[in-house]
Amino acid sequence: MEIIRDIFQYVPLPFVVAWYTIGVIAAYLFVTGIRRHIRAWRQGKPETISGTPLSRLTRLIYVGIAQARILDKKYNGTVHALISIIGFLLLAGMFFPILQIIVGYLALLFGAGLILLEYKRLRATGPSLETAWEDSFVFGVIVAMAVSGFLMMGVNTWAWPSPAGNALSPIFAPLGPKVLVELYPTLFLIHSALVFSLIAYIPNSRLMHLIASPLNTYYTPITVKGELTTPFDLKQMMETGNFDVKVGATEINDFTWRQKLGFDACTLCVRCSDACPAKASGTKLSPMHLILKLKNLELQAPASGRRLHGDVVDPEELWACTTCRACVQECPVLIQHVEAIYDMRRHLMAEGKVDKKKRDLITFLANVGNTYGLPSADRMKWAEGLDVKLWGEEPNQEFLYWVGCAGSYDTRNQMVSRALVKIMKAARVSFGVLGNDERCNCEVARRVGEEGRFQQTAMELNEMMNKRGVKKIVTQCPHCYNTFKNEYPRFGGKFEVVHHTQLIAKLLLDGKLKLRKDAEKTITFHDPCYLGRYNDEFEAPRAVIRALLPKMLVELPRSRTKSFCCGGGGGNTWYTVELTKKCSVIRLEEARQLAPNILAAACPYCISMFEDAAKILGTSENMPVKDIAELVAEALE
Amino acid sequence: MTSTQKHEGVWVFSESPTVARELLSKGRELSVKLGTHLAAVAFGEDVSEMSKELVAFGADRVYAVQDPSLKTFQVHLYSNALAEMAQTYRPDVVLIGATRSGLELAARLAERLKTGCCTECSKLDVDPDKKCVIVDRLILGGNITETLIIPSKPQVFTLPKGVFQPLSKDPARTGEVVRVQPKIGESPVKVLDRKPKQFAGVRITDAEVIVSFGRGLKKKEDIPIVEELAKTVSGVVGCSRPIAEDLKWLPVDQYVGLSGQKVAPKLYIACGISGQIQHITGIQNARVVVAVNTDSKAPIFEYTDYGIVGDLYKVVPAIAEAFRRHSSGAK
Amino acid sequence: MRNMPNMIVLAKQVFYTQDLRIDRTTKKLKTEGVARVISESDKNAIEEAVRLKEKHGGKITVLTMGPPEAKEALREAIAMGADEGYMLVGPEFENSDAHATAVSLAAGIKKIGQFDMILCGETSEDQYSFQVGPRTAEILNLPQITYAVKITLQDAKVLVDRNLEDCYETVESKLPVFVTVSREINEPRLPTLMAIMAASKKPMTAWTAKNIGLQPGELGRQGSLTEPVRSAVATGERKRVMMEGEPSEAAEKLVTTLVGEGVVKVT
Repeated sequence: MEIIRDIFQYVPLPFVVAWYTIGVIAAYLFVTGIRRHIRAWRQGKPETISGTPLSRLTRLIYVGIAQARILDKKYNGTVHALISIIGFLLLAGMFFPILQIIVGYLALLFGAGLILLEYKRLRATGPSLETAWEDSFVFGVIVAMAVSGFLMMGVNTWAWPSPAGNALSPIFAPLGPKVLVELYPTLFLIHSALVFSLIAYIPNSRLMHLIASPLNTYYTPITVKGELTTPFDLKQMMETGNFDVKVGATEINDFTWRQKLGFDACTLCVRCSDACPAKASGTKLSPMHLILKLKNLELQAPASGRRLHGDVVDPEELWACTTCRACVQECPVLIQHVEAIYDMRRHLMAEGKVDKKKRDLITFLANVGNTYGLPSADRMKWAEGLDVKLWGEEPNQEFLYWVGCAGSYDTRNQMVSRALVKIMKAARVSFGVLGNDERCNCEVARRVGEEGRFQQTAMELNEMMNKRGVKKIVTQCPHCYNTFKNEYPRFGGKFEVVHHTQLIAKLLLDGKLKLRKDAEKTITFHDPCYLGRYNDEFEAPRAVIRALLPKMLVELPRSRTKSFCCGGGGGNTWYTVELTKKCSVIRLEEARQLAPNILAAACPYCISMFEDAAKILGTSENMPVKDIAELVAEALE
Repeated sequence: MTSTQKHEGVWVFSESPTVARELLSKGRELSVKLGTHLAAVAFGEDVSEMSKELVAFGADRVYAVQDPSLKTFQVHLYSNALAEMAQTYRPDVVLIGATRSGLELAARLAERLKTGCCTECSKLDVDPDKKCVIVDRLILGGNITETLIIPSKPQVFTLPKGVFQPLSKDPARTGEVVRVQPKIGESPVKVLDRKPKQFAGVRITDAEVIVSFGRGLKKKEDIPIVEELAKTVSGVVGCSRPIAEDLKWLPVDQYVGLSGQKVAPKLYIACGISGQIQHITGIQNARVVVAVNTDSKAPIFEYTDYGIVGDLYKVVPAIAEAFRRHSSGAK
Repeated sequence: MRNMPNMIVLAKQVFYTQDLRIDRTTKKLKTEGVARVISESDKNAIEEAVRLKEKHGGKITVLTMGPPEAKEALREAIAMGADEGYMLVGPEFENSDAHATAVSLAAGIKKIGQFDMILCGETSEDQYSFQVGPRTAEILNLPQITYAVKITLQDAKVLVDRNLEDCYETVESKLPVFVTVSREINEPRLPTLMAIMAASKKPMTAWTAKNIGLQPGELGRQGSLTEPVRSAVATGERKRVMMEGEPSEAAEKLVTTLVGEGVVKVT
């Protein structure tokens, strides 16, 4: 058997010439099209991609080729895999007879995939995409390509042996060999022309994802999930005195080439927007459309000076983002939506183009070290009457208990702080608090774009805590947890950080806590974004709940990595955006469907948001919101 | 101004006749304690009526300047006139009403006369030993009370309006009216226009009294209960966030809280507001906070000066009624 | 159109008054850990000057008087858009009352040189005396316009809208002029921390009394015209007094208390 098939067997010269002509034109269009994209990417800022080439290559194979993320959705994923992977194999099979045996079967699978796809398209609900007509056209071409392929195989079962061909050939047989010999080259050419047209069309359609998406899965950096990018090094700037840095993205080429590649890799699958809580609550933000706007901009104007904000992107879209990362989680091709949003936020903050509430937020952090603007001297009021020791007041303290702004000042969350103290004392955990030396770690400042304030605070707090011998930190808030664990190390922090649910889970495992079990109540748990999606911690809170109520944990429809954000993150607690229905209300309605006795949470933002929503829906009585710590404290024997 | 020559008399001045009357009452008290006379200063286009009024309300003497240029307050003209008069007649104490105009006048005047001035005094009295006025002022966010005296003469003070009750008018009172003609000069600042303010929509951030409600109020139709109380104290109605943002019973610039308006009124009455932290941060600079709530454990009571545990549907009308009774009593 | 006005802004650094507390144990005012900020209406003045500069060009010089920490105030002002800063610093300036402060600032202004407009806030929120502005204007023999809520520069004069209790007044004055601003005039911009740090590179100069030609007798406590007798802590905390009884009873107690304290004046 030859290695490469002679595809022109049975094809007379004029057809061969035509084939090559069409092929060359298609190749030319393809190459120039791709070059246009590459040119656009390369106008972005430079970037050294972090993550070893080997690990990224593995990811390319797993995510980009094996399409692991796409298969997240069973039906759609399978169909896409059938069509894409098999499509490529078929293309290869055209040239490599070694695949001949399976090509025939592959073709059937391909056809089956198309049928399944059409079935789903007919049954689709919801509004059509803006690209609906173009997509249908492309789909039509693919179907035509498949049909012509089958016909081709049916007409010439010698060149293309296949079960489908065998099944079809009796239809053609009556035409007689002379007709078939003439028919075949035409079909071959038509089929090839359709393939070529698709190839030529790739750079101009959503099919571009065939090239850009796998590339993106290779070039997306491997980083710590919970850590934001660091646009500048404040410490270095203070040392050198050179503050000449452009902060944030104001125009398309302020993004790096890798980010621009990312925008281009969008397949318009809509999974990000479907998962986005900001979109669901009716704000202006739709992650996919934001990415598409950037993608279109980068392709339209290679050396664009066009301003992003106000012209292409509405600042409201940027502020509506709760930074929950559902979009990034869902994206099958690893586009980093949230990172782009942060870059654009940073510019707005650097220009001072933020509304009064955001300015107040930063002013409060600067002046009193908490997000509420309340007196710094009141930070320990929550602990009145509790005999909470300060860090350093007792020898051999194991944990620094970082209470956080909400735990210190918010009357609702002070209850959680007190519960946690009760638990730690019952388990004889030796801990101390910083008391009035504790001030906001400025995670939220970073999220709204005030990077300088964040870095300065990080350096100062790290220095203070390192000097005072802090080694382990337990936080009440997943945002504090994430920032100490994933962001503070870059600025000198050397701590082991646990979230309070992790601590409690460990205490239970070690038998340090005795709980009364209350088997009567059902409980459902809302995974906080910054604990779950950001840090992959789903089990600790569930382990605690199971210790309380062995059988009565019911899962929300959207749980774990698919948890639906409460709407409080990214600074949204401190300012308002226009919306139609709050995320917290949507989530509470979802919980209400399960009719649990308790809605459990593990984050002060979630609790604050849900308490508000409970007042609106009137569920405060029949479905109270409780922190895991409160439930455990109540059940302590 | 050095006190080589004897300074006598407590002078009282305000460009607002109502405030001038209030000042006379406090001025009377000080003049008695200092053993000196009480005089009022009248500026205007036609000062005859004004002078009679000032005498009727307690002035022993009125220094009256009649000039068309003095028809409305202008700091340069008024300070020129008053300074010259003070240099001529050597008052011991000058009390100026702490209206905005009064404040800028007092400061400019005191500097012209190279004498001290204390503004926004919360307490004024006469020191029996030093025989001078001694005052208290709140500084540093109301945390510290500073007690001061002014060694130089005249001692200039500004007094807040609406604090002192005027003496009752006595048309039979007699007093000396002295017509003076100091050099008024020209004002380098020309007034082009004056637009009176309409008080229909007082901004909540400017309000001196705010009556606010939260989810304790069950229906939108019940808002008049709160409005009624607000009316009795010339206050403005405010609310907590859910009322404006979720229920949309009031416009969003009327809700008080962390992400809403931050207010610093003299009096804040919170009706049926639980006192979540977001609301508290909006009112922490209020001088006096009162709360009404059915829940004795409501967090708001941690942040109030005076609280009533009860049903706001009963308590709020009762408070309004009590204010009405006091108001008719005062007359 | 008058271009390039020379503006001097007087800014005072104060403790963030909302964070000042009486320490429960020592019963003294706790200033440790309290942020130092530019007094609110002075910030409005800086912002207004920056807006005028954005419109008309010109130069903004910021002048402050205070402890060495006041340098941060200059940095912040420069980060907002001022061009240079001067500070009057030294023990000789301490314990100045409004008069001594005005004398010092006036001398500083004279040394800075030519100006078209001086701006400052209507009052500082730690002293709340409303005096320094008019006193400084008097010493410099300048026309004063207080409580500005809108400033328009036109050729060699300025048009100002003023916010008085019962009316808005529009006034006009030739330059040079001294203007104090109210908080409603604008919303000050928020410079990022990075911008504030970058501002360290702009010119900032410290002056002593000698630099500005003042004698010790004119400054500080010696130069003041008011004399402090004593200071005491005010109570500060909320009273948390509950009015008991039936609604009408409790309401009566409440109203009597409020009227008696002078919190509310009944009409």
